[in-house]
Order: sequence, then structure tokens, then C-alpha cells
Amino acid sequence: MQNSNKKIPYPEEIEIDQEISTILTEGMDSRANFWSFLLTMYRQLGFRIIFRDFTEIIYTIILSIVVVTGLLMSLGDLLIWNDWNVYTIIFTFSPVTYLLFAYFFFIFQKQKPTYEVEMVCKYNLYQLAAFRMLTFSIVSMLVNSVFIIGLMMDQSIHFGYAFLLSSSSLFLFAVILLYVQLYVFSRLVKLLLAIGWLLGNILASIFSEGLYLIILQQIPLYIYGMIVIGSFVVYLKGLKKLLFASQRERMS
Amino acid sequence: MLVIENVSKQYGNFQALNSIQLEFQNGIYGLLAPNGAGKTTLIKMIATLMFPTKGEILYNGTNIVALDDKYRDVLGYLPQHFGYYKNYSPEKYLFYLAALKGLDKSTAKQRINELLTLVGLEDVTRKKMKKFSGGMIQRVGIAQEMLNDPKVLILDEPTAGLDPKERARFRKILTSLARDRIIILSTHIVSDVESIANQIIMIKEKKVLYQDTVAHISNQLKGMLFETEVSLAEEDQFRDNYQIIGERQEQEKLIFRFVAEQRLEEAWQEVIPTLEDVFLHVYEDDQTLAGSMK
Ligand SMILES: Nc1ncnc2c1ncn2[C@@H]1O[C@H](COP(=O)(O)OP(=O)(O)OP(=O)(O)O)[C@@H](O)[C@H]1O
Ligand SMILES: [Mg+2]
Repeated sequence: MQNSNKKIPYPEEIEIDQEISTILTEGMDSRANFWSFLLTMYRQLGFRIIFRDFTEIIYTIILSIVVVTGLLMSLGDLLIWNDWNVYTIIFTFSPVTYLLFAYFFFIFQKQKPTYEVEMVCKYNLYQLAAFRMLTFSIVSMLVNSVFIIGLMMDQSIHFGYAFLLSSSSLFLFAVILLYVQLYVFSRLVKLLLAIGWLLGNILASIFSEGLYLIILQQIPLYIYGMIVIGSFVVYLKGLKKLLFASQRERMS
Repeated sequence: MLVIENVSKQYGNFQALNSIQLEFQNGIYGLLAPNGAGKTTLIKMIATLMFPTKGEILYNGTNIVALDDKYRDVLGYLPQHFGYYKNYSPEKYLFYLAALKGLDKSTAKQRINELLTLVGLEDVTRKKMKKFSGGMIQRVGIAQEMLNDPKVLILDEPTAGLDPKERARFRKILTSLARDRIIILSTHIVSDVESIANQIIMIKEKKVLYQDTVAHISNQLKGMLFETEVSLAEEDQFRDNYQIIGERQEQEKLIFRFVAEQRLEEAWQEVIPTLEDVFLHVYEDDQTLAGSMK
């Protein structure tokens, strides 16, 4: 036993120490991993710091649900919802919750008086924004599911299909919006994008109903699954960019 | 060590700073220049709020943009206009910022108590800041930038809005902090930095004019600064001939403090130049002032 032990080239103690310390520093380098960075950040900051404006967020969401519901009900006389394909509605309106979050609570406003103070902190607004947007997208997914379940009471819907459809719509929109946000810091552009999305879908479904529905409904389930996964991955990439952006150098 | 390596900054077509080259070791640096000279521009680049159009800024040899959160971790910054949440108390705001700076709760608590006492706000820690005077807000600003015990501390006109007593107190605080960190403070008020800065940096026409000690910079005018009595009759001609830096009236006579190449008359008294004299001399015909957009 002792003999075989000697044959193994064993690193010197100093070498071991050095190696352990490099492994540690590289492992501890929080930038190395998106998820671990977010997790560390959440552990250090906690919910109440990252969502400092939580009550405002809740108020806005409740208010907008009330407004949207009211709007849909009063429009109900004008547009005959029954004529609409329920999947068209789902596809068109799924990004709305996310849009509200992103529009009002991206927290990236250069005009904000505290901007400079918050921006030079270890965890700055870029990193808060990345965490918040990820949370917002997941909350939006949940809200959409609740809506789908609500619709199921009235209509015959295949939940899995509706969920995938709604999620692809959500993340497609989220990706577009996020990349716009990365490069353009204008609320107007976001607003135009949102109006464009809603109007585009509504008009498309009205004027070329056949084609629109074919595209929407002929696409098989697994393709939707892939769209969801694909756009979610691109979305995460965008968030990563927000988190560790090198494009910061360009904006000034 | 912090190095500004050949940095230029352009706003559209307007060149704000041109080929700035500076080096900072531990100690207090006074960035002294008149309005519109580019102090805030330089400071925002050091704070990573803006990026140089050309050149780079290095901290211990690495570009501060690449260091990213590791650089911000050692950075303390007081902006020229310190923003705060009106409904927050200083304590709450500092807790919020301490968290963003990565401090854990118990460290933050202790640090916030120390700092609020240091700046003399220990009696109002839980009062809403909307009721604070300008000077009190400024002191919250000073406390906030010290939270993470920064190695690089930058302050953009920190004494604006402070009364003379508070200014003196502020200088004392800064001196006590200067031992093991780089402190860069911008001002256009000579007395803010004259007595405490290890080095003074002056910017003129978008370039660094001096980076030197107060004594060396003051010496620039040695042998060229005089005081003399001038009668009211001679006043206009005298003004045309020499650069007047200061004047006061005593009975029927004017006493001028002025710059001349050499002593031309017996009556002229040579005086020891101060930093303020050099400041006034240097910026007497400064174009950035007349040409600035402000
Ligand atoms: N965002 C901007 N866009 C265009 N020009 C700018 C911008 N910011 C500053 N400037 C110009 O750059 C020059 C330097 O401005 P800066 O704010 O750096 O001066 P300063 O020394 O801090 O002045 P002050 O003492 O008034 O604060 C000024 O002429 C100013 O008009
Ligand atoms: Mg300024």
C-alpha cells in the first residue's frame, strides 16, 4: 500500500493551495454564471430592495386589469367577440401584462433623480432590471394561464395548446421589446411597438382571417413548443446582455 | 492606483475634454476649474456613468469598464445633484443603498449609525428627507458615498449649498478619510481644496493645465504678483496695462493686486501668490467660460 502511494505524483502543498484558490476565485466569480449571479443578488438584496416599488406595481396591475376588462366589456357591443377565434384573442393579448410591467417598471430612466446614485452601486439598475424583467415574464405567464383557465369555463379550449400559443406570443414580443430596450431608451418607441403588435394582429386576423388562422392553427404543437423554448432562450440572452453588457461602452 | 489614459470626450460635435492624462495615488485631489470647464464630464467618466470617446481609465491596471461591478464595489460617488426619495428617511435610504452596494444587514446597520453621526445627522435619522435643508441633504450624500468604505471616492462640487461652518466640518471629515483611499473632489471654490488637497488639478481649454501641489502651483506667479496704490485719476490706464487680480478701496486710493512680468516701480510691493491668485490669473481670459453653453 505504501509503495503504490508513493508512485502517484502528488502536488506540493503550496501548489494545492494555489490551485484551490484559483478554483475558488473562478468559481466565486459571480459573472461566470447568469443564474448564480441572479441567485446571489436575490440573496443579498431580497425582494423588498429589488421590487422597491412593489405597491406601485400592484396598483398599476389592478388598475389596468379593471380598465382593460371595462374596455373589453364596453367594446363587446361593437365587436362581436363570438365571431373571434379564441386562439386569436389569446395570441394577440398574451403580451399585454408583460408590456405593462416593461413599460412602467423597467426602472431604467435617466431622468430619475436617483439614477446616478443607484447606477454606481455594485448592483446597479442594469442588474436590477434584468432580475425584474425575468420575474415579470414569469408572472405574466402565470397571469396568462389564469386567463386561459377563465376562458375555458366559457369555451372549449385545449389548455396545453392555448398555453403554448400564449407563451410563444409572450416571449416573441418580450424578445423584441427587450432588444429595443437595450438600445433605445425611449418610451415612445416601446409604446409604438405595443400598439403595432396589437393593431397588427387585430388587423391581420380581420382582413385575412383565413390565412391568419391557418398560420396560427396549422402550426403543430411541437413547433409552438420549440418557438417558446427558442424565444425564451433568446430572451435570456438579452437579459444576460443587460446583466453583463459590454454594449455599455457604446451608450453614453 | 487610478490612471486616466489619454481620455477625450465629445458630445456630438462639441469637444468637452481633450487628451486628459492623469494619475491618482491615495490622497486628496482637488479638481479646480470654473463653470463649464468639464469637471462633471471627467468625474462622470471616472464613475462609469459615461464613457470616453477616446482613451481609457484604468484602476490598478485594468479598464474600469471591464472591472464592472468589481470597480463599483470600491467606488463612492456624490453627484453634483444628489437625488433621493423624498418620502424616505436618511436611514431608510442608506439601508437601501447599502443593500445595492452589497453590504449585509448587520454591517450596514453599524456603518449607517457611524456615518450619520459623522455627518451630524444622528438626531434626524428617521425624519423624512423632504423636510431637510439643502445642507442636510448634502450631508446624507456624503454619508451614502462612504457606505462601502470606497477606495476611490469622487465628489462633484460637494460643498455647494453648505454654509461656512459646514464647509469647515466637511473638510475635516474628508481629511480624516484620506489616509487609505483616492479622493477626487471638484470645485470652483479655491478655499475648499487649498488647505486639504495633496494635489490640485486645473483644466483649461479642455486640457490639463496643472497637476501639482498647492505650493508649486502658487509658485507659478512668484515674482510676478504685486500690490500698489493707484490714484483714481490713474485708475483706467492702470487697468489697461496690467492684469488686475484683486482690488480694494482705502479712502481716496485704490489698492490693486496685479500681475506684471517684473517689478517696474519702487512703490510696487511684491506679494506672495496664493492658489486663488493663480486661479484668477489662469482663467482671466478663459474662453470656455464665454463659449460655454450654460
Ligand atoms: N450632455 C451634454 N451634451 C452636450 N454638451 C454637454 C453635455 N454635458 C456637458 N456639456 C458641455 O460640456 C462642457 C463641460 O460641462 P461640465 O458639466 O463637465 O462642466 P463643469 O466643469 O462640471 O461645470 P459646472 O461647474 O457648471 O458644474 C460645457 O460646455 C457643457 O455645456
Ligand atoms: Mg459640474
